[in-house]
Amino acid sequence: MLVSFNFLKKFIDFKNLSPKDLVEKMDVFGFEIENVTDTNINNLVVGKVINCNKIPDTHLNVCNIFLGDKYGVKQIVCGANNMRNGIKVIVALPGAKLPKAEIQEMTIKGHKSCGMCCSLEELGIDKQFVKDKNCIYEVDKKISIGEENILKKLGFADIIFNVKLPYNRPDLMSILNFAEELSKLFKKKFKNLKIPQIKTIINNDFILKNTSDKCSLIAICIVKNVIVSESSEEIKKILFSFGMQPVNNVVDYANYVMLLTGCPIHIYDYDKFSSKEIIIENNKSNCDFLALNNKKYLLNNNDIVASSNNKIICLSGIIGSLDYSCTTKTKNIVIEVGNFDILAIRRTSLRLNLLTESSKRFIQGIDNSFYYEKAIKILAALIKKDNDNCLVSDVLKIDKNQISRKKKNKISISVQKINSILNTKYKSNVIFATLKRCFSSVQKVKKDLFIVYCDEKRSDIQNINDVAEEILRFLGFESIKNELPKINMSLNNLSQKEDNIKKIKNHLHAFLYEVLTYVLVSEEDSELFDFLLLNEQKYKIINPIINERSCIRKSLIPSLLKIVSDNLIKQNNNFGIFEISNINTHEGEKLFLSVVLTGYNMLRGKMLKIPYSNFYLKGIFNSICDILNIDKNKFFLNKLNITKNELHPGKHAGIFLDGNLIGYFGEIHQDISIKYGIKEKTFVMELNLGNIFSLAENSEIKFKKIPNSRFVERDLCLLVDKNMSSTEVVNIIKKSGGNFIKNVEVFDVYEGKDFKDKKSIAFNIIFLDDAKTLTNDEVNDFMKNIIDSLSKKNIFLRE
Amino acid sequence: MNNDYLLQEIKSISDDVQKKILNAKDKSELLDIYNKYIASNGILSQKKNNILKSKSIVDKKTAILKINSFFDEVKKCFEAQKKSIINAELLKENEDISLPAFDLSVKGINPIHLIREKIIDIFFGMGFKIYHSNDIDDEYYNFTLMNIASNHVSRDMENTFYIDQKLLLCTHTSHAQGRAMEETKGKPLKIISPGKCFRKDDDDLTHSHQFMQIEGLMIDKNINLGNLKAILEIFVKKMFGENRKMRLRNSFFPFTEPSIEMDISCDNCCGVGCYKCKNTGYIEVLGAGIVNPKVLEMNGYNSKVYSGLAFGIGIERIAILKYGIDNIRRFYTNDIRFLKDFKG
Ligand SMILES: [Zn+2]
Repeated sequence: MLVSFNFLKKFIDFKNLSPKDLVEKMDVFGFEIENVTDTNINNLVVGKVINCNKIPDTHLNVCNIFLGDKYGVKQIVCGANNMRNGIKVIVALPGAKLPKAEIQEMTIKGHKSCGMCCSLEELGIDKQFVKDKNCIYEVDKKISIGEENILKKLGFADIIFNVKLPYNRPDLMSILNFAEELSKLFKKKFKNLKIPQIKTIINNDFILKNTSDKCSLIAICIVKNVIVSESSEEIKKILFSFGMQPVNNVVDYANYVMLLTGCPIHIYDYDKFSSKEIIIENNKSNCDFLALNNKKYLLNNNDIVASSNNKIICLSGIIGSLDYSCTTKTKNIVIEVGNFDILAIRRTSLRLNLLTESSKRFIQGIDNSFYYEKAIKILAALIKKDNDNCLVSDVLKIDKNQISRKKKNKISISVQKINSILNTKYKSNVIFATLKRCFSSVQKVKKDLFIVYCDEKRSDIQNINDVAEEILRFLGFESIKNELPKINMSLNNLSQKEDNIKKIKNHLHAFLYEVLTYVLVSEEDSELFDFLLLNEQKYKIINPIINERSCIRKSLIPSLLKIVSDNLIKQNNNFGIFEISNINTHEGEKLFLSVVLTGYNMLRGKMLKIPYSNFYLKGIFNSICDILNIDKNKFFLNKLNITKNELHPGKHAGIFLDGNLIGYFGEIHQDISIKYGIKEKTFVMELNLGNIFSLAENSEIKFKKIPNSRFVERDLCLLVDKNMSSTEVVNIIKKSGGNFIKNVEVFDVYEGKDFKDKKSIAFNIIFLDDAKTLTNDEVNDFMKNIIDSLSKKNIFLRE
Repeated sequence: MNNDYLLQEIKSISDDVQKKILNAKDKSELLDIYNKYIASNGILSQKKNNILKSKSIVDKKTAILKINSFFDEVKKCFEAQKKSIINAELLKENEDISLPAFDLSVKGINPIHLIREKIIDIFFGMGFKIYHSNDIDDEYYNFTLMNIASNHVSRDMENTFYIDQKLLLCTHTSHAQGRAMEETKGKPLKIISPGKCFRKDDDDLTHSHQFMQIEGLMIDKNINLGNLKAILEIFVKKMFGENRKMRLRNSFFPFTEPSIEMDISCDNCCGVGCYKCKNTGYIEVLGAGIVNPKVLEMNGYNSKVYSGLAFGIGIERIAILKYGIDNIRRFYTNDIRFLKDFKG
């Protein structure tokens, strides 16, 4: 809400309180000041032109202007039509910051110019107040030479605060209420507006109906014999300072009263009504409506409208129709005020993208049913002041909440309770005095017990905590004693899950970047890499902003690939990233870990780099099992059914636990590389950590004895079917080689043309008996068994 | 033969050998000298043996001591020269230590995660338990139980992402308050709840449709504003340093009463006022308050017995203030060069 300091001063005597102090304090009182605009300009002086000579062949004059004793005579070059000897002008001296330029000394056509003679427009004053466009402003003779506060003198210097009101204080959207509130907070005198008494002479001959459940109040008043003309400068200045455009005196008064009281008012031309009725309804569907602003809107039955003789005359609470508006020809008017449902006004306003001063107030939640009669009276009096022959009717109204509103909210306040909420030691008399400042009616029951009767406009005050907040606003935070809570001690530890996540993150930080991505993705992306949630129906947003963010993801991989592609564009190559995040499913959240690697693992910069591969990912998986103390042999790796070309069909693996897929890793398919514009070789892994953590729950570290005996090792180089996995061979070796096999490890794989459909794998086998060192003969026997078993499976020693 | 003469001879030989040793240029030359003179069949050893065997020596004991001392000198000289020759040779294998090291550096972390952990650590240290906050919840928990009116603007389709009539993407972490209170069934509690939040904002330099918050809630007997102030002060000092001042302001949230907003003194101007703090000297950090008794009652607590305090911390905001990050987009772009600077 915009607030003009000049206007505010009409109602409060701020005395020595500067606007700066005001801003600082208001902030603390809970009125956030979004910005402050000072329309005053420094370095302006009023001067008298003492001589003025034309520069030949130009429209320019060289003038000598007397600026009073302080500045003396200055030479200024000026091109205005009305520049002449003897007039008083406003001179902007070097250093003056005008809205569009900063004044400097300069030389024009060889003549020194020490400033500028200004038009009002050049001083940032709205066109409305400027009579002749190409003329400099001629200052009234009464204003003395040397005057430096000329804008203030003319009434154009003001300070405008843009105040963000708290949501629970719509009552402050009235300058009267706002000023009263400030006067209480700053302990300054509040000069209330006197509500004039108006004689009602004529009869209100309208019929009023309200069929809308979204309108709780409607009231009208008729004024005849009005003279519509231009508003006075004073009214125009006030409207401008609040960011509103003047129209004519009647409409401007209505807006002015709205600023004062917070109550939006609409004016109709009485004589435009073919039948004297106004109906408030919300059952018009698909109606065209030509509004005051000359724009057409399509209305539906959610919009509250006022109609007459089946024509829409006003989009209630927002804007009136052009046809019924008050113009310079208007002689008689109808004043209308109403109270409308916040939600309905908000929705209509948003749908039509039509935010007016009126709808702004309804959306903020004003309840004008307390002020409407006051508002009508002030308005009628203002109009009558311009023309004493005006005739005012009585007010016709339909007020649904008249009865329920009458009850004033009553809250009993104990001093002890206030102090216990705030942790203060306020004395009873301090609290009583403060309550009297906040509330119009406070009753003392006992020394330490009071009853507060809330003003009807303060619907936000409902319980003692609300009252405690008021006391806090008035007395500040200084008296609140810092004190840590005195509560019972209890064990506090990380949950198993949080602990596991922390361990994994700490580990991965050593070689991967941890990223953070959006939960919402495009529908297309939401279907990619969904291996772990194949049968899960996706969550769609019913009101997305853009299609790119319209679905909740089922995998982190598309988001991570996007990061890779963005980074590659920025020439960041060769890295690995990971994210641990919850994934939303219909059975609740699941915890996923996803890793993406691209390009090379730069072990020693460019001197030693190894391309990332699936085996790096497999290593990460193994290390996670290790950290959680889980036997990685519980998991089986197997190929997946790749239907959407996400992964390289030959270079990937699903990770299975008890037959269920709990993770996967692989090289991305070239279709994906193209889609994301990733030219480097890129590998992805996704794990359902929840499944893995379930195994970690029962794993505990146990001491194992270290044998004193020595191991015996043998190498075995075998020719194996190309499609056979090394694990299958290892399993055969382990099965046939006896109980003393401690470890079988692949140390070389070779696929050459000479082997056709075979490949060569070299194994290193470790035999160890914990009790004694095995002899060569014993080991030879084991090896013989192994080779026999292998040959039965068509696996032979490589010659 | 005269003792002195023999000894003199050995001395001159050993002096000579020492000279040779010192002149030796490499290992093999040195080895030749060793074999020729020092080894058991070398010249010096032979001379020594001769003296030992000789019967004409008068004072054998003294002579042997003398000879041994010559010998030791030669050996010392030999060892010293051996060392220096070896070192000279090793020095030829000199490596350029300025070459790249193995990259064992810790990689960067998105500062949101980093700040999240720091905040959790601070409140965990004060005994707050971590309570999980879902991304998706019922509007009943997100709005109604938090005393947000049915016509409140935040409930509009224009401001909140809905999945259906009831489910929505949570607009704040406050919904976790209701969940936690429901679970605790009217007993004291002390939780912090980090989570993702979503609002229908267009993504730009200052807005993001997704952001992270940490909610705090403590309910017990006699919880008051002084407690909240003390807890927040610990948070500010731990997060921003002992020298930062904090300031409280009145504010409004439907679920707290009184509601406050906390500012910290501007690090750029130390409270004098500058562009960064919009000339106020202070920068807004978080919102907090005493739990509205209405909220306690709605969530199954007897507000005559219990009171509570609550706060909500925007993690992006803290990260921006702590690290001087220029805009909110950085967090979700994940530029590797940006992430590099943030380490655990
Ligand atoms: Zn500052």
